[in-house]
Amino acid sequence: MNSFVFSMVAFMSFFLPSSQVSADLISDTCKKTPSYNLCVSTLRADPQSSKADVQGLALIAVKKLVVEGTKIENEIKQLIKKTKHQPLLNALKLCADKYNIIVHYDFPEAVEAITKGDPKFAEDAAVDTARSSDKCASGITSTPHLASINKLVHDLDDIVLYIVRLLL
Amino acid sequence: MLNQKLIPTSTKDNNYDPLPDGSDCPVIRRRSPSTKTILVAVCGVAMLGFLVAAIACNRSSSSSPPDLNAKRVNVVQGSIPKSAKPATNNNNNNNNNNNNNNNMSRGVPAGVSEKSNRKYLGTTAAVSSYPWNNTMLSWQRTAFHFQPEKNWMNDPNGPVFYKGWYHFFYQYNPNAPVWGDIVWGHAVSRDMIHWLHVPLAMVPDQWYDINGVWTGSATILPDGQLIMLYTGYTNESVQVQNLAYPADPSDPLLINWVKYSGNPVLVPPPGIAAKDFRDPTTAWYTSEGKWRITIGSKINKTGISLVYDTEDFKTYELIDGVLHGVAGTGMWECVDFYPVSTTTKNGLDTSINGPGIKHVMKASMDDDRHDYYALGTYDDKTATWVPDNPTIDIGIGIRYDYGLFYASKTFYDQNKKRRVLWGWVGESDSESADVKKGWASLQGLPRTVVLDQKTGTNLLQWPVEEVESLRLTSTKFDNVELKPGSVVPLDVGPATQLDIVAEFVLDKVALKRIAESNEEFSCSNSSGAAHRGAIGPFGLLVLADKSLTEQTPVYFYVVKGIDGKLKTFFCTDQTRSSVASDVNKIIYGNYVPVLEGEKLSLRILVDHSIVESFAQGGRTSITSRVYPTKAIYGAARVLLFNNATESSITSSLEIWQMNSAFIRPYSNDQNLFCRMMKKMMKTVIVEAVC
Repeated sequence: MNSFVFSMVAFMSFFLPSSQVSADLISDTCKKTPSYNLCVSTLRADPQSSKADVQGLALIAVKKLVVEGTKIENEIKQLIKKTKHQPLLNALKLCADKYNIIVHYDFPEAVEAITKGDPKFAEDAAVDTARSSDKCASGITSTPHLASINKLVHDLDDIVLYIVRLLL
Repeated sequence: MLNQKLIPTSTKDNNYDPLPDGSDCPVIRRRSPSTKTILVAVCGVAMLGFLVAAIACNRSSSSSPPDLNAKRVNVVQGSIPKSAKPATNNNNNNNNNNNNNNNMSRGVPAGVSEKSNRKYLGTTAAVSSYPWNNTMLSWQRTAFHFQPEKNWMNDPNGPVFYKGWYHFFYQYNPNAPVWGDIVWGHAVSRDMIHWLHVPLAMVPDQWYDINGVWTGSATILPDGQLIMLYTGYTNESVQVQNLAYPADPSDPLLINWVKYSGNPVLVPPPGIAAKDFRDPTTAWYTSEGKWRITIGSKINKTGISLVYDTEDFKTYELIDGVLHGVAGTGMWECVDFYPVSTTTKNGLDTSINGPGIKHVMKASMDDDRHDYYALGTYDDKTATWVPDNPTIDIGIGIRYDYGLFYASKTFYDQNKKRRVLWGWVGESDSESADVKKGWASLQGLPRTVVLDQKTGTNLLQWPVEEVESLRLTSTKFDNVELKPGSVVPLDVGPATQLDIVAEFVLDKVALKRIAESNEEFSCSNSSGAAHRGAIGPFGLLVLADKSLTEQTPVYFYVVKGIDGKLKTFFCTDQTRSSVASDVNKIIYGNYVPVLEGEKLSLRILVDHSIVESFAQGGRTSITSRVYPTKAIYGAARVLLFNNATESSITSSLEIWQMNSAFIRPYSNDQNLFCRMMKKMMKTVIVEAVC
């Protein structure tokens, strides 16, 4: 019995490594970011991640970041149309301004830089995104839904930043 | 109407060739001898001419150079690979009603300007957005530093002197004030100061550079032929090296370029990643009669520089080993390699080797965005280079500049027999300010580079002498004594375009009395100009407003060590450079060697949002970007200060107002007209406009 179990384990261990390696790469990479769980769930959610190298993982993370960033930009714009309360309106306009830069300048720069192998510009873009989302954050504490997406954007951006650093 | 006798003769320019339209670019130094009537007639025509010149020059500066749109390839569609698009979730984004195109298309400006990042991470919180207005932003454009009319620039490329013109190429984004869609911009000048923009030299239009026409270098062959090697990013995401040359070698403006049909000439060798192979250097001739280049790369975290030999720039042999490498330094970008003389003050052609020579090796560290160089010895036979002092090797030792200065590159200027250094100076403000103002990045002033023969362990950098041609009026101050804790305003008139040369003498009596200190000083860890020591800080406050709420101190800080010896530091303090909080507030600087008997000396060039400072004849330099909100236009001032607690300082200085370099697009019409004007009179106005 023991020898059977042993040989089964040995047999299976030949098959585990190939998927184990990529899962380990995701795990290893995410350990180097500030949000391990978010990083792992984000990367694993993409079927390409099991075969991706670090550059590929960076792109997957950016993809998710773009989705969330574009979503919040749209929501901010919709909310501006409905908001009359001046202090909130001002805060929303600031956020709209920031997300305009993030979505139309930072994101494309990050993608191009990672894809073309000059990751320092992706680092720039990620740092700018973080600062911009911080500027937006302080004014929208009264709209918890927006605030939480903004925080998600920031957290995803941190993940992108730390993965990009591994490419330098 | 032109007097036939006033045909231009150029007395000092041996390399002069005519311009493509057959006209001459004169260097007239003679005024026509005149009687009173001729003088009156000339003045009358000149006044009329000046009026027309002003109109012509305005017109030319607003019209774009020819060919620009024809040459530019629409790189938008091809440049974003599918995997980058938010594919499956795209449906959510279709209702976006942005005023820009979205869904990752780069049809509109895209990208963000460069910043030195790592230091920012801790400061992202609580940074509010400053309400920059157009007055403040438009002031930031420089008067005599190279920059394109708009959008983003980064690395200097292929600087060269050819047929009477200095050429400057640069990484440029034609679409946005952020990195991306990179092409080669191009400008020409007779003196490296008065630049004229000409059409883009190269754009991504071949499979081997469709994803980027990146950095490269020029080599001039002994027969005068010019070749360019540059990095292309292929349609399959691989960094390769390509050969290009002037379409018309007899065109001194080098407007059109041809890419070699057999490109790429180099692809990443085995063991080197597809994205770690870029920025080929100028070639130098070996003792075997071949041309040799080096290309930076990395293996794991070891930065290295690969070596290739070639006879025709088309086929190459990878030489075993590396020119040099340093563990832990990461990717080496923009490697540069050149000889310096240990005996003369001249620059040397890149191929020179032999006794009385040291070789400088330099690389840009991708990891920390700084340029490092080291002095050492090159062995031609083994194609290796060894640093004189491995403890200050590349990536861990001396930097060209302790501020913002990256991707730098030298070239040998055979016109004036000097080696000249170009460096990219990015922005340190926020990206939304860059987007608002519509541009990002400058080049530092071109600097001569020589070995510091007094110390033997570092280089000296100094702005090229042509910068001095911009000097207008000056104000001199002799032996101004500054007691500890004093500030002296300097009445020089406008203070946003200045060339400041200053000397400082320490109080010898106080020096003897001052106690030894074991202070471990560093500019960046200090509290800047407010960090009072016994013998410093003292220096100048530039771009200061009347209330000194905004000020940028450039200063020395001297420590008397426990061995009684003085150690001098040179710093630029940005902490109070602007009331805006979304700009870089780091203190830059480093130790500067000061030899026995030397006075402390500095030179500062203030040009709107850039401050370039040099200490001890260029042993240490600091380039800083400054973004004041109040200390702009007429409100900017310059002051002397001594914030030491015990030592007085005596300073003598001279401060010049600096003219604009009127950098603008090249125009044939304007050039023709300027020729006419120059034939008739040489005045400051004509010189400035033409």
